[in-house]
Amino acid sequence: MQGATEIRIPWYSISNFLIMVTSLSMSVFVFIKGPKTKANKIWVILTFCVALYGFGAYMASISEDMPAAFFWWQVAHIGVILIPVLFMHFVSAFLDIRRYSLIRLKIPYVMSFVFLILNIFRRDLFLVRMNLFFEDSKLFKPSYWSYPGSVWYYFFIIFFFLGLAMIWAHIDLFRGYRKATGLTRYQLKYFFPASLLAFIGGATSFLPCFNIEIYPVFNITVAFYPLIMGYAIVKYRLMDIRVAITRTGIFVVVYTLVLGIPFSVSFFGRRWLMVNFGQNWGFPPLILLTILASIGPFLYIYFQRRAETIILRKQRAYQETLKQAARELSRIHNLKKLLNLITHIVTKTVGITHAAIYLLEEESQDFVLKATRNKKNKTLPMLINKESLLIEWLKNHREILVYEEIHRKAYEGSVVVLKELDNQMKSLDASIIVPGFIKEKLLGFLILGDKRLGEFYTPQDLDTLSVIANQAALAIENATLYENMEEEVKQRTEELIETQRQLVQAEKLATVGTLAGGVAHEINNPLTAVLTNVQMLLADSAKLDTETKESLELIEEATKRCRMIVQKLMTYAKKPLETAIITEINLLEVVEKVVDFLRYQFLQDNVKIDIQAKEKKYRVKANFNEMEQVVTNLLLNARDAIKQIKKQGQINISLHKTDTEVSLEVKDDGCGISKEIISKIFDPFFTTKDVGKGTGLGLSICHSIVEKYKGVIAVQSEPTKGSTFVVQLPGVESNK
Amino acid sequence: MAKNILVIDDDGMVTKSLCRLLEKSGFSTETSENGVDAIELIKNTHIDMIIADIRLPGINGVETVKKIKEIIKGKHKHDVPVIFITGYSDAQINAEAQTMGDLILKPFDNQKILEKINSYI
Repeated sequence: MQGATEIRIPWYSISNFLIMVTSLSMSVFVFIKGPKTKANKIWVILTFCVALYGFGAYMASISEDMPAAFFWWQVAHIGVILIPVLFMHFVSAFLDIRRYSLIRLKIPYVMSFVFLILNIFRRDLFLVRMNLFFEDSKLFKPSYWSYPGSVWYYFFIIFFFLGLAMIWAHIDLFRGYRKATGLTRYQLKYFFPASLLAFIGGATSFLPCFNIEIYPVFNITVAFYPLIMGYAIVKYRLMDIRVAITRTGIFVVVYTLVLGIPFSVSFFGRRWLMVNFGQNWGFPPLILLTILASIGPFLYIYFQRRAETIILRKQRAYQETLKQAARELSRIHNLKKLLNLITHIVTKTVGITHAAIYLLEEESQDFVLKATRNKKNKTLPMLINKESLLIEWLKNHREILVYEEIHRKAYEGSVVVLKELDNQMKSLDASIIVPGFIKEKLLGFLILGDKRLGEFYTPQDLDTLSVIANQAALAIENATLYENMEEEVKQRTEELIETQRQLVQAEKLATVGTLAGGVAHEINNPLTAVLTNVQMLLADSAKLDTETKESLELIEEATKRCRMIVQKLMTYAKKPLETAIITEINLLEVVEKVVDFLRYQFLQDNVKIDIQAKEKKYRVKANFNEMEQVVTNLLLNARDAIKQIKKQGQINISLHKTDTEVSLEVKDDGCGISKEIISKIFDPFFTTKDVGKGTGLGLSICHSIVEKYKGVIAVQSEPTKGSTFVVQLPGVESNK
Repeated sequence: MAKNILVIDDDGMVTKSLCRLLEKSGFSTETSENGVDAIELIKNTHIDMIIADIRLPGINGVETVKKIKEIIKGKHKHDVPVIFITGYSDAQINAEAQTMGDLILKPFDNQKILEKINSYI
């Protein structure tokens, strides 16, 4: 008989043992990590109570006598009594359910407390007797099992009530799951079935209390519960624990083995052990336990490292790629290219649906959409106002915004600000928003869509993205500076080219002038000979026949024209034959004198001259004769321009002055100047007049004279409508 | 007796043309191609008037006339009238020339120069 009982073991002790190990690990783990939220704190107590239940039930199952079993069942029931109400509380805290707290939490707590008191101080009322369980079974080892005492009336009602609360909590969980989106939904996807399974499985082990003799092993589901939750935490950051929970997993596995192997050996090999070791059969498992317990920590550390290497290898490779790419960013100086590259790198490496970049616009301080990727069908706002909540939030918090977190917080706490932020993120189609800072300045932000595989952004992702964002911000700042610099260089170069062009032009004019001046002088002597002789011959005209006389007259005329050209050339070359006396002169006087001189001639040409001057004095520092020459040239040109296209016309001369400047405007309604030649009109020898009618020096001389007095001459013209020449000269003090 | 006019110009074309004109108009002429020769010439020759180019090889027309005037002054003779002719446009030297005589720009009208000469002699 002895042998027959030996192979019968209390199987349910195994499930209770596992419940104890997994739940305790979970409780300790979360406790060590410092639970931050209310839900996490309750979670620690809840899992501890579950572990207590497992511990008590396990101890009871291996108790050899009734008083011991009685005691352990009493211990187990401390956990059992508290589990329903704590679970209810945890669900309420997790989903932030606040209504009906009286019947959901307060009454259950009070009842559980009363029940607890009874369990501890009047156990005779609670668990009235211990029976040997499955005494006649050949498969199971009989063990002492508790049966309801006199209080079980109430106990039953309350237990049923608490059972209802558990069902209610699950309904809430399921509702929460249906309602939730994203992260919470994913978390609940694991949370809900795991706890439901645990609850049902756990409940079956109490059926024997009601004389329903189902062997109590189905509460093994309770042991899986923390494992499933652990997985959900790793994958979906359930409960805000930002540490790889693989450590817990490894811890659980290692210590399950450390404790489980000797335990199993003593269970299953007890017969063999007794045969070989007799009374000391317990030693080998004990030695094994000692050995395993000693190498346990080493195993734990070894596996932890291995696991971390494996997990981190992927993480590191991916982070390395990103960081390397980020370093490359600083080499690109073209802003547009850079922005495109950033979105490209992030979308490719992280594997996300879409990305967009908004950058600070210095002038308005608003944020402007600068680059998008895979966002063709959806429209993003081109501009995000500097006063918008999103910008304020990013500036104040300086952290990556995660839509799931904002969304959850927004609806858990019903915070208006968060709801608005939630809406704004939704409208931007953003899963996360990564701000990029340069010192204290928010330079821009990166909007990222969902991960392609439907995964969630891990804390490492967020850290890496943060680094990338700041590196990108630096690169963007560089590129912007570089572009501004390039722009400036470009502008300067253009200015330089313009200056150079002007210099070349001036140089050209000066060279032409010098050259012409020299040539002119050389020509003067031969011209003297020609003119003297031809006039000498003409002096005796009585002796000449008509033809000879005509020829000589032509020679004389031609020579005189040559003389005129040479004189003009010499003026242009700034080598006037007479000394130019520079004094303060009144430009209006110059104009009036020239107009008086030309008026009669112009009247014959049907050209009217009108002078407009509001004041009497327009003083400049110049030579009177030279200014006369300027005005004369301008008027003659104006007349010629009019005569080109019509029989009568009008020339308007107007004078203006400011504190520093005097200007003269000569406006005609003549033929105008075409765009092709307008840049050449101040060049020497450039003329549109017929051969012999103009020397092409008039305007060059004007230009040369005006320039000499540090003035400017400019022209505005519209073909067929007329031209306006403006001469600006520095004013003198007496003008003020 | 015809009035004697000294024409100083390094350009033969100018001196020849001008001398012909002057002779036709009843003057006698002396010519010189440079200042040094002109100064030498004046020492032994009576001159009633000088027509001088300003730009000359060696010493220029203005300097030459200055020296000649000094020499004439030393001989206690009457000052000699001078007409400078120039095709060159150096404002400074032209102005200096005008302190000693008239200035006529090349090429000039015969009538103009003859009028000037007749106003002096």
